[in-house]
Amino acid sequence: MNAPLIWIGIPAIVAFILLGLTRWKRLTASIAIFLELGLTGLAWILPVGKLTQFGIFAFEINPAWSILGRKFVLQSSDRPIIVILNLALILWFIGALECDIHPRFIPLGIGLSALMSAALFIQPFYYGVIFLFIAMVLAVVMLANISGQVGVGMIRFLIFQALSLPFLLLAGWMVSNLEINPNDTFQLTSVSLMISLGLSLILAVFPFHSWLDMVSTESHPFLVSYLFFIIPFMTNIFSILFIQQNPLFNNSLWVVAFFRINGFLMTMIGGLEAAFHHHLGKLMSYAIMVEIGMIQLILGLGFVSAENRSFMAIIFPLIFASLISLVMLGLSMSILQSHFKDLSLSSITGSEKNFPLATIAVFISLLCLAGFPITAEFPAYLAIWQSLFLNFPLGGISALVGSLGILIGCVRTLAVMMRTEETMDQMAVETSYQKILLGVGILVIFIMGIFPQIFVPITFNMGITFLGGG
Amino acid sequence: MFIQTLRWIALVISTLAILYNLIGNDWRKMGLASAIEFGIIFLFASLNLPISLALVKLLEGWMAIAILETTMSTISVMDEAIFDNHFTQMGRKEFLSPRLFRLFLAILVGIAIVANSSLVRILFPSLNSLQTITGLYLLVFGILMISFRQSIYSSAIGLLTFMGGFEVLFVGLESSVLLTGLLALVDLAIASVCAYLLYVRSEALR
Repeated sequence: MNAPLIWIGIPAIVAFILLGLTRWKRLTASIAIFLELGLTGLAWILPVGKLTQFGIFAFEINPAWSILGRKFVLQSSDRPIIVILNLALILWFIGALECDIHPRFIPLGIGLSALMSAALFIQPFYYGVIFLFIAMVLAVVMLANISGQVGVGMIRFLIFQALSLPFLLLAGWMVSNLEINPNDTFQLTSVSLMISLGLSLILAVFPFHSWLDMVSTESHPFLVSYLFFIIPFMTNIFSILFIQQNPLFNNSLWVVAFFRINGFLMTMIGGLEAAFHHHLGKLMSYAIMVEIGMIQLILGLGFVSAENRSFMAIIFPLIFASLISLVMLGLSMSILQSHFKDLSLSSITGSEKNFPLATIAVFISLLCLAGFPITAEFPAYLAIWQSLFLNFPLGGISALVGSLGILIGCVRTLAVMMRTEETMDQMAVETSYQKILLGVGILVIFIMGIFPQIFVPITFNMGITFLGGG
Repeated sequence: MFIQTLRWIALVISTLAILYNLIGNDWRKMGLASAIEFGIIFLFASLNLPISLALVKLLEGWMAIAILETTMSTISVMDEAIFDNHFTQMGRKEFLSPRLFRLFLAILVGIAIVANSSLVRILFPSLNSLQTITGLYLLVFGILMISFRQSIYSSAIGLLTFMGGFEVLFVGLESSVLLTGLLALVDLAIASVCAYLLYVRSEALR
C-alpha cells in the first residue's frame, strides 16, 4: 500500500461510485462523511515511510506511487494538507445534508479535492500545473451543473486557469532544465515574468480577480463558499512549493516584491469593494479577496530569508479559521437564498425576523473573516498585523483597510437584515437541524477566538511540519 | 528544400485559418479552420516527436473539435453567450467595422511577432524559426480571439488555438510521452467542459 493511493486514489474511486448514488442524498453524504473521517484519522495517526506496528501486524506505508514513469510522492510531512482538506470536506458535507444543494456536490467535491492533492504531490513538480488545471475544469463543471446556468464568471475563470498553464509549465521546465546563469538577466527576467503571470492567473490576484465576484452571484452560495476555500488555499500552497523547489528564487527580491505588491493590492481592493457592496455573495468574494491578499502578504514576509520561512506556517491557523467561517457563511447564505431566491441587499431586507440564526451566522462569519477580536481568525490576524507593521508598514495599512472594509460591509448588511418588513412570510423559518448547525458553528467561532491556545499551536505546528518537509 | 517549402505553406495556411477564426461568423467553418490548425500543429510537432506521438496531437485536436461541433449541431436554441455571431446564422447582417478592426489588429500583431520571434529563439535555441513563428501566431491569436469573442464556443476555439500554439513550441523543448498525453487531456478537457457549458446554457434558454 502507498500513501498517494490511500489519500488520492481511494477518494477518486469512491467519488466515481458516489456519482451513481446521488439519488439518495443522505446515503451519499453519510458514505462520504465516513470515508473522509477515516482518511482524516489515518492522515493524523499513520506515519508514512516508517514501520508501523498494530498488535502482531507490522506494515509500512510507501510514500511513492509510480505511474507511466512519473511518481506521486506523499511524504509524512505532507499529511497536514490531507488533514485540512478532508476536514473541510467533512464540514461541507454535514452542511450539505441540510441545505438545498444538489447531491452531486458530494462526489464532485471529493474528486476536486483528490485532483488538487494530485497536483501537489506529482514529481516532477511542474506537471502538477496540468492536474491543477483539470481540477479547475472540474470546478467549472460543478458550478454549471449545480446552478443549472452558465455565467460570464465561470467562463472567465476557465480562461484564466487555461492561460496560466503554459506560463507555469514553461517556467517550470526552464528552471529544471536550463542552466540559468544568475548573471544572465534576459533568462532570469523571462522566467520571473512567466512565473509572475502564471501565478497571478491561478492565484486570482489583481488584475485577474474579476471572476471571484462574478461567480459568487452566478452559482449556489454553499458551493461557492467551498470553492472559495479550496481554490485559494491549494493554489497558494502550490505557489509556495513551486517557488521553494526552485533554489534560484531563494531569497529573491523579485519573489518578495511580487507577493507584497499583490498582497497590498488585493487587501486594498477587496476592503474598498466590500465596504460599498450591494450583494451578500459579492461581499463573500471581497472577503476572500482580502484573505488572498493576507496570504500574499504573509508569503511576502516569509520569503525574505530562510529564517523567516517558519512565519509562513501562520497560513495554517488562518486557513483553518477561515474554513469554519466559510462553511458557516455558505450554509447561512444558502438558507437565506432558498427563501429569498436572490441575495442582493434589497432582497434580504428584514431576514432577521424569520431567519434569526442564519442572519446572526452571516454577521459572525463575516466578522470572523474580517479578523474581529474574539472570533476565530483574530489570533492569526493579530500576529500578521504585528509582523506587517514591523517589516512592511504599507502592507499593514492595506491589511487594516481590508479588514475595516469587510467590517463596514458586514455592519451595512446587518442593518439591512434587521430592518422590519411587514410583508414577510411568517411560515418560512429555519429547521431544527439548521439551528443546531448554525448554533454550534457560532459557538466554535467564539471558542476558537477566546481560547486560541486550543487550536493555534496545533495548526501552526501542522504548518511548520508541512513547510519544513516541503 | 521540399520540407522547408512545406513548412512555409503550413505557416501560410495556419495564418489564414487563424484569421478566419478571428473574423468568421459561421461556427461550422470555424470548426473546419480549427481542424486545419491541428493538422499544422501535427506537422510541426513531427519535427521533434516520433510520428506516432505527433499523431496523438492531431487526433486529440480533431476529437476536441468534433466534441464541440457535435454539441453545437444539437443545440436548438442559441444566444450571444453560446455563439457571438449567432444572428448571422438567421440571415441578419453583421457590421463590417468590428471585423475590419480585428483584421487590422491581427496584421499589426502578426508583424510584431515576426519581428520579435528571434527573442524567443534566444531563450529556446532548439526551436526552428518557422516553428517559433507558427507557435507564437497560434498562441497570440488564441488570446486575441478569447478577448474579442466572448461567447462559449469562440472561447473554446480560442483556448484550443492558444494551447495548440503552446504545444507547437513546447514539443521542441520536452518530448515526454506522459506530458504529451497530459496535454492531450487538457485539450479534451477544455473541449468537453465548453461543450457541457454550451449544453447547460442551451437547456437554460429552453
